[in-house]
Amino acid sequence: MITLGVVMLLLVVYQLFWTNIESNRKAHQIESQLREKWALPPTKGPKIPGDAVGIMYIQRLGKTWEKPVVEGVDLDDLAKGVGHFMETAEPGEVGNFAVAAHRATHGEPFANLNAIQPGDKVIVETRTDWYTYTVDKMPGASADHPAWKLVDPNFGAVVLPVPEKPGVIATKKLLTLVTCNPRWGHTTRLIVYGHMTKDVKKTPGANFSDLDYFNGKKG
Amino acid sequence: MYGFIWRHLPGPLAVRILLSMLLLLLALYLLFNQFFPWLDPKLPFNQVGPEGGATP
Repeated sequence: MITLGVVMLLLVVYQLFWTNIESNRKAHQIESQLREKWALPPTKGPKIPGDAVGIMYIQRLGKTWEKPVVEGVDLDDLAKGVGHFMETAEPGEVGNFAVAAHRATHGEPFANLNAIQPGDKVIVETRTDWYTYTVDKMPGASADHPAWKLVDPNFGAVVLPVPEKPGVIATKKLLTLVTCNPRWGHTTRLIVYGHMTKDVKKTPGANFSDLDYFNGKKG
Repeated sequence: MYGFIWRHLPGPLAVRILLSMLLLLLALYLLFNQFFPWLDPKLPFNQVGPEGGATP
């Protein structure tokens, strides 16, 4: 009985601390590998789940909040950072760049996504560009959380090229952020929409400091 | 159970203590690297994607 209790306690330690340590270590490793890859000429190839496509920055979630964006939203992919729904648009493309991340455990990138506000910036760095997406006011959302709403777990329309409008051809560059809700449950999904407002090309020698966003100014 | 293991460990006290530490480490290793990762996807707070699961 005591053994079982100790094992349960260790499971809690594993979930609350160990998965975060492991995921954060993986995330750092993936980011540095990605930056090394960017320094080399690009290679053509098919999309592979788990491959890093970019780095995401959201200052609302923390001054130093940055996570790799990897292809796919399986648990293996999400353990590395933010997962990109592979069938949706790439960063900076016309269509919907839709991503999901854990709300709790495994690095919990979107733990505080409920704090997001309309007008907040989501930066996605790729090999060639820094894309700035601006969080939209959520139509019909309640006044105490104007940027997000909760939907049913099987409401897949949020990742359509134009969210919630099946069959409509995309003309804008949109963003969807998805995570689970409540934080330690999975009865609903928390959804945030945004659209691209700025595209800064990475010229040779370009740096973070070229983006107003990283100088404390609102990009 | 622990009494049984303790009685069946060979050698003097120092060796027994060492062996039980090793067994404890082995148990921890198996829990953190095999059992908990296996259990992980079955826990309720791991599904984040739309369409009913982690995978859309």
